[in-house]
Amino acid sequence: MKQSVVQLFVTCLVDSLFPSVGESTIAILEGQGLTVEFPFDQTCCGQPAFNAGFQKEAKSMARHIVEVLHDTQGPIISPSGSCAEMLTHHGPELLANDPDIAPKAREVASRVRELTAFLVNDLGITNVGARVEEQRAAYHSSCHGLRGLGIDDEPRQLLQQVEGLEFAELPEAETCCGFGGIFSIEMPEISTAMLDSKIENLMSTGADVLVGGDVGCLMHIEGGLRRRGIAIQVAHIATILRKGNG
Amino acid sequence: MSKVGFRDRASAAIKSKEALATAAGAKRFTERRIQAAESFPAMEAARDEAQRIRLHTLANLDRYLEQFAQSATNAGNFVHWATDGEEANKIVLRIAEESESRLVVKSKSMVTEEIELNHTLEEAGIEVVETDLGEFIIQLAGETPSHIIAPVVHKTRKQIGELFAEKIGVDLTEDPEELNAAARFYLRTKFLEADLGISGVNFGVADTGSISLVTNEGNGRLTTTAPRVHIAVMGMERLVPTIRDLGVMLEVLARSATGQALTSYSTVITGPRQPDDADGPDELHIIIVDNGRSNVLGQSTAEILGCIRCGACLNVCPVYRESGGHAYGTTYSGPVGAVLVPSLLGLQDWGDLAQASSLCGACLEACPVRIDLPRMLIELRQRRVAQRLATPGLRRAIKTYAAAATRPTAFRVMMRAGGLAARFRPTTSGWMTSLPAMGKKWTSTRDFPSPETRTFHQRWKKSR
Amino acid sequence: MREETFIAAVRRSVGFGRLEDPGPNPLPRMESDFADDLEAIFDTTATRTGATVHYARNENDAISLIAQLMKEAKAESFLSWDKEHIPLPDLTTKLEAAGFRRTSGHVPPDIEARKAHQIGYFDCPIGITGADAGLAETGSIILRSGIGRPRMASLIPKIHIAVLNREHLWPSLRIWLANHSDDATAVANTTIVTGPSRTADIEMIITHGVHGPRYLHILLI
Repeated sequence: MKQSVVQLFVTCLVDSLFPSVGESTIAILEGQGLTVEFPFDQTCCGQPAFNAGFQKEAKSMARHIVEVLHDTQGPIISPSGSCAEMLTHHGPELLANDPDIAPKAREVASRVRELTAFLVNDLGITNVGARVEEQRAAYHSSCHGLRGLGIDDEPRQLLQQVEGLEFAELPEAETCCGFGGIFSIEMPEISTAMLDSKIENLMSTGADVLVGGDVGCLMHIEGGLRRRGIAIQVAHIATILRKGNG
Repeated sequence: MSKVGFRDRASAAIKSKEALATAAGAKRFTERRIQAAESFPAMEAARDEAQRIRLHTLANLDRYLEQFAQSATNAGNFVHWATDGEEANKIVLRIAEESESRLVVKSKSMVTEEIELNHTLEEAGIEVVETDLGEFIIQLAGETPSHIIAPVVHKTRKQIGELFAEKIGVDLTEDPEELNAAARFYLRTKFLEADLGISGVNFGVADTGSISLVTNEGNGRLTTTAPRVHIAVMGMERLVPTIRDLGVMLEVLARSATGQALTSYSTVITGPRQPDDADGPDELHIIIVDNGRSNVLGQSTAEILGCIRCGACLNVCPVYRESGGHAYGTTYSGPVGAVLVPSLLGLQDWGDLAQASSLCGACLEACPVRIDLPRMLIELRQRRVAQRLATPGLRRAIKTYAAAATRPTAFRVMMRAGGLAARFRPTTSGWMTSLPAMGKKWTSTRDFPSPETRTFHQRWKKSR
Repeated sequence: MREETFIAAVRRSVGFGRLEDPGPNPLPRMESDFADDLEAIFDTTATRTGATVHYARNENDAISLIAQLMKEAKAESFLSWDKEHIPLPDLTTKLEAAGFRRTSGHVPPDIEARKAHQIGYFDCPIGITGADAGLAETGSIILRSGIGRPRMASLIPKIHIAVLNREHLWPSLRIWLANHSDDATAVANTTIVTGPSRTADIEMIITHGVHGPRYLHILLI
């Protein structure tokens, strides 16, 4: 795989709600001497529809994103374990029976990488030269990245190399925060109960900042912290890794 | 929808004593399971084998059922077939009447919970005593189990102490040792004088017609040894091909359930007492129950029938931990219940269980036979959508979003419009505190980020 | 319902081919993590289950050890397997000679007589059995039913003493089953006992002896 050029798949949530996470991702990748391209017609990976059982809609969205991404070169990097997992596994499954697109879906899937996995496993880098003001950080493992793609150690390794960051293990870091996309709206009470448990664990760490790799989970946790008036910051790992090096 | 569903029951249970006790128990079970797996180097290989055994059996279940029935009959058992719960109950009742049974002891069995056997027997004036300590407590309390292997995980010892004092007249105590001793004393006479013992079946062995039963307390052995007649009620999917396959299943079952290397008593029963045997039942009846299972076997969720009822998926499930087992509304709770119950009983009444998951995948990771529960939850959701059972608001939202997401220009406009519309919502330091319509369900307990005025697409375009 | 109708419904669903058949499980993995010193491993694993492991050099030592256990328990009687099924041929005779009463483990066929006999077990303090095998990996013993082998002896008393010939130690259940699959199913009841009776139904607190024996002594000879 030619690695001087990479593609950014920014995800719909980052696009509309957290565009700076996309900018940080670019900065980190460019800091490694890579040229970042952004296929402009990209939209959404289709996961919201897929998880809710709207297979036809999920398929049409998956088809669109595959068409947009397959004519590009280099690894496709996404600052989300969840969306990367969708493109890696469920996209090709959904499109498996459509001979015109199935090979393209598999080809795209083979190039998709979650940001931290790409840095650590493909580039072999754990220190991106980030520096932050002295603070204590806890890491929340988002479910799809963790269980779908096996991303566990990579973000921790990267965070441990950040100057000024003290790393605190979050109890039950691997337990879902209750976001689950549509789940948070279909089952709001249980979703909130799960969030409260997550916040309780988070508070036990004494962390100043909670770091994660998926803005979906992070906006859920931050939304809960804000509503409860708890002054713990929430940051996407790209935002932390970008700090101190432009 | 006025019908009480999972959401209502779960909402009522959150932070209740029951739910908190359940969460604590579930976490401890999980710690023990992980420890057991780590101290057994062959665990992953055994899981692969166990999965294979279950899938192979289900894919040939007709053949293995015939073989099992033939071998079990040859071994001296009476084999009965029941298409549903009612028929199974009638068969049990007939055997009870023919054997003039007045007192029945039962060892814990999910399938008899499912078919509500106790109710049928009690209506016929027969005394039924549950002998698993947890089930005994449930029976005294007039409740239903909240966990596949730990029926009273939702109860505190204080509650149990009060219950014993009230129902079996022992001195008030919270000491588990004393409570156990009281139950042992009370139940012992029942065992020794019972006319009929009823058990479930953990596994049936097709080539020998054996049934296997595992219990830690020994109540399974007593139930199947002391009374003159033993009835084993078996869900039709519980078979494995050979006794060696049974060994593999036992290897993973206890480790996944309680974290033990093996359950205290793992019994293989091949027929009734043989001529001149010292003890054991004179008659052994095996009732094979369908009750919707053959229908599930033809569905895309057929794999759920591979479940070996260890409870590991319940223990890791954050939804189960927060809501407790009773929120699921039937015998089977947690992720396995969320797949099995709608498959057995239909989506119209039970489809909402399929929504009771954030699809975090912890259940699949824990399942000793690697049942892909998240995949099947999505399958059920797809069926709900196809049958127009999904929430209309969600349907509109997804369709609108999908239409935009397949037209890049429309998508970019939509994303920008979101940012504009958000300007009119109340915010606290940039986060919205209330949203209309479906969004209210989020903002009732959480703030929502205001969309940025400029999307990433706009920023990219500007910067290049 | 008739078997044919029942099976037909199953066969129809199997015909939909919802599950891919991976084929039967091949002969199970036979390598053992516990090849070298079975006895030492058995001691560790059995102890971990809550059992107590004893050793005896010869038959006399074994019998006096058992008599000692019975005295400590203030037992006057015992329920046991017949002597030919315990690898200590003189055990029951010598215990009886020492004044311990042996309760018959043979249950009469008549229903009322059966109940009356079993009620006699109510307070039986000691059960003595042999064991067909011991399993190092899990610390288990295997007991098969049969003539002269009452199942109740390992089930109803508060204390169960099992006498196991150390030559019958096997690495694991898997390996024992692979070599004895017929033995396991030729009798009405084969039970793999792993530790004393236990429960954790009340607040996950482990306690022993809820229905079966509270104490399990395994005597290796």
